[in-house]
Amino acid sequence: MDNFPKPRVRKQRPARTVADSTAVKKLKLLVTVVNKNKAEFFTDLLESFEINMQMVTRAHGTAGSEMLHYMGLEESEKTVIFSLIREDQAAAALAALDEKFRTVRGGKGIAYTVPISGVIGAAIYQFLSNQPTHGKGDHAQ
Amino acid sequence: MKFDHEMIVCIVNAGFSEAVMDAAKEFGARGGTVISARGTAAKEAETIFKITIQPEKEMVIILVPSAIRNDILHALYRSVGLKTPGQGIAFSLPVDSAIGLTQEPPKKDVK
Repeated sequence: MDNFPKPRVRKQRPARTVADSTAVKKLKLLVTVVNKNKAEFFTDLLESFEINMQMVTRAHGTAGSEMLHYMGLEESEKTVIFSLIREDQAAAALAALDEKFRTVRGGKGIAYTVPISGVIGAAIYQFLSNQPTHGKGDHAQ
Repeated sequence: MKFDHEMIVCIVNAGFSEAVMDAAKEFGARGGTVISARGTAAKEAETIFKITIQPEKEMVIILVPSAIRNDILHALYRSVGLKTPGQGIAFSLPVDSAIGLTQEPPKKDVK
């Protein structure tokens, strides 16, 4: 029996995943609500996750204890950061934000992502997703 | 796809954000974020729907567990809806992941 040649088993290649460079990656809207004086710190942090466009706006927070409510101190000045982030960067960005929310003094906040269902213009998509040009022209996708 | 949280956006006339939060808190919302905004509805809409549009608006963003979303939307419709002085509209968007939230509030009995 030992004389029979062993059957050749082909090594299976790993399946192609969404991480392939040519695949279109979805975008998400990342909303970060932090104290007013921490806006720049968090926008700088988020820029390291390949975010090219962020919108920062002033806002008031309304969460507070009953005691603060009766003392009229319930509202506090906040900054809301709307960032457009690529899907594959969202988890890492949220993890980094979570770490900063816990460790930075006065840096407590909340952050969440909302899926984006569409975007018009290839150039716009490439800009928002920070991906180099693959195709030609400026066509809607 | 099932989402744990929803982002409720309620746009009301300026000065009604407290009424929005009062209605939302009644059904378990913890807190919200109020952004000043300006409405741009068309003049024709004012005549068709017989309403006057006050350009100064407040946009209230509330992050809530999905389970209480409907209750809050209904409460907002009743207390600050288009037929009230608040003239508010409210809608919700799915949230796929959220961080920084404090523990869930105790569940309130739905009337």
